[in-house]
Amino acid sequence: MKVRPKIVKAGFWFGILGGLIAGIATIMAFVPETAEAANMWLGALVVVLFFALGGLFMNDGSVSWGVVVFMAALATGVAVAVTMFGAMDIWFGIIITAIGVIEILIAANSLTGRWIKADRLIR
Amino acid sequence: MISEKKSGGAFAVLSIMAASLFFLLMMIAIADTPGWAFGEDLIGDVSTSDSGVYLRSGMALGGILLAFGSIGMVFNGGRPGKTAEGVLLMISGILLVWVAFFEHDDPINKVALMLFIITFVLAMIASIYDDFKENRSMIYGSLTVLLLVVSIGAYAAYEPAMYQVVWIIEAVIWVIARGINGLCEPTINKRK
Repeated sequence: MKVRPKIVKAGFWFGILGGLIAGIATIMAFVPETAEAANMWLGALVVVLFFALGGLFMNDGSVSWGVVVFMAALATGVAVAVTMFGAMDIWFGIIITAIGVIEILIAANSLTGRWIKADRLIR
Repeated sequence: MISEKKSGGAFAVLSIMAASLFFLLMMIAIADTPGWAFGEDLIGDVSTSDSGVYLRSGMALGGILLAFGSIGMVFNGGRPGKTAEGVLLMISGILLVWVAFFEHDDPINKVALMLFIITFVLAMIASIYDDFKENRSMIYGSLTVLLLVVSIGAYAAYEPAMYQVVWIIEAVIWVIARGINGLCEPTINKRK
């Protein structure tokens, strides 16, 4: 029996989507003329955080509800900070931030909390 | 016996008033200062101009209201995180009044401003602890995390004239959010 709510599945897919978009933004931040790769590390940090966040919505996730919400806020905050720093195109930054806000709302939802606390291990 | 009464609201309103009044008076001071450029001039330059009285009044009134508003956080029925947040916000409110009353070039002004920033950030961290403890208010906790990370990013990305504007706006948003949080949640009083 699978009891994973739709909102949790949406959380997983939004995490993956955020990671993919951040990946594209990271690649596009590369400047071939100077081979400047420093900014790409910051983009890669956003990619890692969003993929990790998506993974927390899987059945095999091992962290508590609070950590999931904290991670969602951290990923969104880092996305905003990296965009402010200029390491990512502003439009990519806005899209990723919007996805991050959706992730925060999904993570803080009571259905997600109930699933993490009670039903996560039921497959 | 545990009784529940919604008495924290009155103090929370003071917090909301503190942030709103400070922001309003700061905007009036900026609008009244000729030649002040957004992102180029410091907010401190406004306080030394003729319109500085608005900014100083905003800081003094905001600080007093913030200090009184945090009383509701201190008496909350035995939540250590909330108590720490209340005490730290009370200290930062008093320090903000000091910043308003001492001249811009006075060393006490600088020390008070530095201590204000430190206590305010510590209050934010204490609020994160309280919000995530027993999953109390996840949305408010995540907002605080978001604002803290963005403020670090702004410090790294911008010049002082720009990042201090970001910090002030974030602080105003946070204090208003804490006020709304205080309005929403009842104060639990444990009585023997």
